[in-house]
Amino acid sequence: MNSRLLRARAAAPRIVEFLVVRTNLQQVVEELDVSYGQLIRNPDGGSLTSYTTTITSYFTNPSARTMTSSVFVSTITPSLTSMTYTSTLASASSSSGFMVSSSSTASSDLVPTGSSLVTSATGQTASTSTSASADLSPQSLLTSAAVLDTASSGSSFVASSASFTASNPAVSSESSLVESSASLTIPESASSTSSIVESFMSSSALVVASSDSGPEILSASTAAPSSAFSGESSPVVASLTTSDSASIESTLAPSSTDGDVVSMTTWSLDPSAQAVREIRKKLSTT
Amino acid sequence: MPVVGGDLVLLPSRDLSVNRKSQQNMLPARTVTLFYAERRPGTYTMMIQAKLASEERAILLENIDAIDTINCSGSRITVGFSDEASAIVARSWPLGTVLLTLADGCKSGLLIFISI
Repeated sequence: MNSRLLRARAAAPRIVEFLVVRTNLQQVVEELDVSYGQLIRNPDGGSLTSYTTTITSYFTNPSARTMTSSVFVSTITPSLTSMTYTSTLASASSSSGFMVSSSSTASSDLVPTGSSLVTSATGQTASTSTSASADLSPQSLLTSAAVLDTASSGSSFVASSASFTASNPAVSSESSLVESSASLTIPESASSTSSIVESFMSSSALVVASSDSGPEILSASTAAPSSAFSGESSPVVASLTTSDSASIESTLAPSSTDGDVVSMTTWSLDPSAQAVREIRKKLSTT
Repeated sequence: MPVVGGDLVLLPSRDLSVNRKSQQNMLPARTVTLFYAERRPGTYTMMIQAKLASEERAILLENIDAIDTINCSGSRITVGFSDEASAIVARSWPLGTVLLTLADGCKSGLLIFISI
């Protein structure tokens, strides 16, 4: 429920009562940043010894002058003893400017390495990495972000991929929870034109945990949503393509390096996978 | 309605990564992060970071640890706090503040339907 507060009054010292004057977000939301992710939980009785994930995203927006693509990994609980994180970004443009950075909310002695500002002469690729090898407290956040300036070229393609490995062999995994996701921010100037934004994101995760019987692979899972949604903020209607495949590979394949059209991804599915499903998502704001 | 056997439903959920004891959560903000997840043991999640119009501010009630109860009835939302200090802060929220809650009995306007 979203309600606009008209006024509040005291009914009791610890009770606050609000009068509702509206119950939707129409005309309220200016910009939406949609992220997809996976939650990885260890079953009871094991320890999270290794978690590796790779996530790839691909965004287009013909009208966007700049676009921010970010990939981040957050640990929730328990703490992790080490984490290495790398990110690579690529653009279809030969002249777009890149800015790539990494950051960490971990303690000061874990200043991320590899933070960089890159303006590539060719504009094709840029990379950055972040690593930490001491204690990472819960809710530490490692972030890699790229800002693509498309003003000079009109290009609308940016892809980013990131992978990280985290480990903590000493901590019980009952509440282990790791999240990784990629996100796309639609600039207000682009959303106002109702232009189509396409995004593709895939991620794969491999969790290795130990138990009384020794190390074992607990799960190998993938999430591969692909979405195309309008830049209108309200309502947001998106279509997603996903698969239940235990292993899925994707290849970014831009069909044009000098225009606004970028092809969708080539899919390589595990033979045992279910057929790729077309699903639709609607975010209702009414 | 979701199609049986073919849908993925992401439900508005409390974001476990949020420190609910932070006083920052008591301050109306222009940007709020809405978290969605499958029912356990699902792994799919989605976050929508909503940036409000420049004059708008919002509070996500689920992120406030000091809230004990939330009741919606008609055109009223009654919020019970565990301490008076938090209630005082809540009374200072400006008129027009947008309140968001997942509480039972309150209209859920942000449920994500994913259907084939």
